[in-house]
Amino acid sequence: MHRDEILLEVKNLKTYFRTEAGLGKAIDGVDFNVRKGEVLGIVGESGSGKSVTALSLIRLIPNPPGEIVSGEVLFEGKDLLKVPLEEMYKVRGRDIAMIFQEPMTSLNPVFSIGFQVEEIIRHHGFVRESEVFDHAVKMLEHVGIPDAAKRMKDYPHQFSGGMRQRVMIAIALACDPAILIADEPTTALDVTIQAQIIDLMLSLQERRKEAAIMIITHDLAVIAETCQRVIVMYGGMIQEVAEAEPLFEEPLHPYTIGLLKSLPRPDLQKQHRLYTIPGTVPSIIEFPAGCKFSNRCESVMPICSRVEPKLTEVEDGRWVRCHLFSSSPEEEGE
Amino acid sequence: MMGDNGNIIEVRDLKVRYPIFGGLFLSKVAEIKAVDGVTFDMERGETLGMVGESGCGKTTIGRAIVNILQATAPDVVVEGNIFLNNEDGQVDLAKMKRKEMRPYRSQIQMIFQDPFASLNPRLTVARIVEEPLLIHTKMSRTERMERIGWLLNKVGLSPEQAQRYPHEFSGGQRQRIGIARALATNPKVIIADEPVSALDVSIQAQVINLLQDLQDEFGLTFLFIAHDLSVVEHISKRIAVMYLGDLVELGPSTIVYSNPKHPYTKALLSAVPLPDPKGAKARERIILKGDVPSPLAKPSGCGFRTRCPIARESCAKEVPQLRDYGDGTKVACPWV
Amino acid sequence: MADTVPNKNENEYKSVSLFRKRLKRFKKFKRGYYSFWIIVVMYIISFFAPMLMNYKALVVKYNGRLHFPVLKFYQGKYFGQDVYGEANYRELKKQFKNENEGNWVLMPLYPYGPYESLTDPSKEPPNAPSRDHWFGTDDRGRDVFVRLAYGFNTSISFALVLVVVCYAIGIAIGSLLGYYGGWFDIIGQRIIEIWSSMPFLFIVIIISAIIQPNFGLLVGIMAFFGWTGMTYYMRGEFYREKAKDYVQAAIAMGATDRKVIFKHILPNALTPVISFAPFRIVGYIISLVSLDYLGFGLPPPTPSWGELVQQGMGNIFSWWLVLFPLGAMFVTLLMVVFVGEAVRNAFDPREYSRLR
Repeated sequence: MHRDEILLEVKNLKTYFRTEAGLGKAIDGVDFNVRKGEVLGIVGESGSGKSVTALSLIRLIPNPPGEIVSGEVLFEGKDLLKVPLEEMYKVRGRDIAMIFQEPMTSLNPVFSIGFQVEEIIRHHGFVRESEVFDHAVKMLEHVGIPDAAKRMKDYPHQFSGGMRQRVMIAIALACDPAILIADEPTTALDVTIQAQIIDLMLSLQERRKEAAIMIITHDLAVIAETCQRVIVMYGGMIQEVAEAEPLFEEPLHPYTIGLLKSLPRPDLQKQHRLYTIPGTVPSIIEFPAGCKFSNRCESVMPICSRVEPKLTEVEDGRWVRCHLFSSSPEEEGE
Repeated sequence: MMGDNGNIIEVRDLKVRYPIFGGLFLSKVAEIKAVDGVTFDMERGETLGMVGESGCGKTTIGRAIVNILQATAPDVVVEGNIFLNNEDGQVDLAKMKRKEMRPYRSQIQMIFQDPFASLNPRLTVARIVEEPLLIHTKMSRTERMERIGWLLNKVGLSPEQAQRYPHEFSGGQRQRIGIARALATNPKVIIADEPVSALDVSIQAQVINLLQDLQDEFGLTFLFIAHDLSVVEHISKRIAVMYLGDLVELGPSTIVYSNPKHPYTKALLSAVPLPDPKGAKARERIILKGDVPSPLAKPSGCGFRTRCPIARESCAKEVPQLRDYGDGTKVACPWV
Repeated sequence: MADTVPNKNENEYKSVSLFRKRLKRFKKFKRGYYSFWIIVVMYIISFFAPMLMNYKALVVKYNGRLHFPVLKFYQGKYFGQDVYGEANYRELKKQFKNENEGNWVLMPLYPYGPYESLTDPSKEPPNAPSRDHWFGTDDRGRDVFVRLAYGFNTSISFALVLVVVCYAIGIAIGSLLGYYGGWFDIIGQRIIEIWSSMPFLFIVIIISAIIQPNFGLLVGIMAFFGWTGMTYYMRGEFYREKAKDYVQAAIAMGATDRKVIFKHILPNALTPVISFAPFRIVGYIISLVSLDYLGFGLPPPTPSWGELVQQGMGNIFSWWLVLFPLGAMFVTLLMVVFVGEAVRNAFDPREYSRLR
């Protein structure tokens, strides 16, 4: 991997939440890269830390109770976790844009759609003041809002859920960001709308070739259809990193295997019973010691509950955090 | 038993409308046609899957069958019939008042989508599961406690957990509590409204298996309402596809899935993402234009015509009726 | 079933109800928790004020027999005192001490009553604080400390009774409106709107001009107008809770209206109204003080804070008449607000977080 192919580098990121019930290690040492021009998927269940990872990148962790404890987020030679807040204001929306899950609440109901699209363009001085309106209309047209120029004056409540999510995408794409982070962008949408919305997000790469898109979701199928590279998270840690095709064809980590097997597959031979991963996802303060998945894993070994496995590269670009794949698991102990 | 045609529930031309009042004197200004003339049967012991996008009326049908629409919308108008075939003959549930309905409630129970909202946070699990027993049986306290323990066991919880409160359980466990409550009175029909869509992927499979096991053991009939086609296809014997208050296609799930006929069903199926990156590239996708229209402004004639790739002029005039296609499916489109 | 992993230490697990969880959070909010106990203890003590602050003796031993003047009226002559009417026990105490005949008087800790004019011939009242009268006396020579203490009881009692009455009416009506909804709700709401737009203060003033209000009547008048505010909250809460699935589930089970209301909705709908009950108490204490200040409240000579504040305004240079009543009010209200803060925190824990 050439260094100049890397757009964003995350090193040992830890974000903890201090709650009444105890210390929740929402993410506990996450390392990954975002490459130029790729579509990267982060997949995980509730409590896996996938959303906290995204929010930590642009420092949107509510404090208290949350706190980014350690780590580096290197973007264009700067550590985004260390730069002053004023500089973050310039990064957010301009270099790193974000789309949230809830289209109903992501837009401010008291401002017109047009104002909200224009605001971000103006804030970052992306085009000259005289062109702001035209650029906003162009963005709304780009995301497929009919009569965009007329609808600039409308308010969010006059738009349907799918249309609002389009407006959110228009806002996110308005300044041609280098990285677009989409946190569960399709979860609240109907199936026939989902595909449209994903296509629109991917259209960023038509506008800016080296831009990267990060899709964070619990839906493995969405990942399979859109992403080139996938990060599987569980218990606040990365469990597996792989290109999409090998991951879905031959998953390595027992968690990934279980997750894929437990999905109903209408396209395959019908089985009467689905495979299940035993137990429930623990809350973030209750994950076991050692491997976080050890209490639900079918291939659990004695070492798993004692020693936390390291993320090891088993093939080129394929990383797994599991004792089954660490070369000599005994060495890692103590 | 009466002249049994094998159906436990027969829904005939069900219409549910919500009038909207406005203006100075609160006159009726508009109405939402949530369900617009739907007819289908539920066979004894089967799982009928019902799919459709938000606003298609699938949840309303489920709630109309258990007759709880009035509770949140006192002005709701329900027309048509919902027949329940039980030992004593046939009864029409559609327009029953709450008091009339009470004796039949033990036979039809419901499982809800949101496991965090469907359990009263102030009651212990024992008291939650006990409630239907208090209403419908004359069991003594010890009998009830015994039954609660048995039910919790059946849904994969331990009876020792009965004295805990809902907030002490995870989403999947809470859904199990909801299932135990629904099972308490030995119902014949269970309306499951999106029972797994709020759960984590690894938990969904557990709950689906549980529902299937319980069906095998107790001969339950399920109406399984969901937006996730993969799940519905897995669990259902037959699938009903809804769009904007209309039933557009109904048939055996394998046929509906492998050979969809209605243009909406085709689009819906092609849009379902699959966890298979290679297959995804090979698949042909039908991307529909635009959004689902608001049920307040339902298009005339066929509700789907504004987004339909094969719409013709005559679609605006006539409401298409469900007709037999021949292979066991029924389709509401004259052009297929 | 094989799908679940049994909890390892099932027996050690201690189940926590929502109430206990909230109680724990309430206790954690120290200033509110301590304020709560201080107020409760002071309020309980204030019921024993006649035993603690009184011009009547607790026990008198006279000629070998015990007498309890706190409980029974005695003529001064009865104890061989040369006064008309009731005995002056402070004088009696001195007298008995001088006589040294085995008679004695046990006075309360603070031997002055709330209605007593302690006119000192050498000085015109109001008198500044002294060793005998900690907070001085008012313009009729009555002990300010005693009147404040008695007034504390009146104020808190008034507010508590009023809150209970207003809540009872408001919760009942609001719940019914919210539960049944429809036309019943629309018409009910309009009536409440008309009701609450009656000029409450003027009606109170007019009524108290015609008849002398007493504690019960004042509570009645205030409650008559005060319950409406509660209905809005309850109505809203009922609408919200009614739409939740657990209520739908209860209805789908065949639960009766009564069960749905009392077992399911009400306990969950009460959360917000309970959390601002302490603030209501603050409001009602202030209302009583205001009415008393204006002279339309409790009839004189009832010891009341409003009346003392009014005296302070009339005698602005008698600093003790200004400082102590206002100070007592301030401290009491502040503590109730702390309690309110703690209650709200217990019901709705919010972290005031920033993005940084």
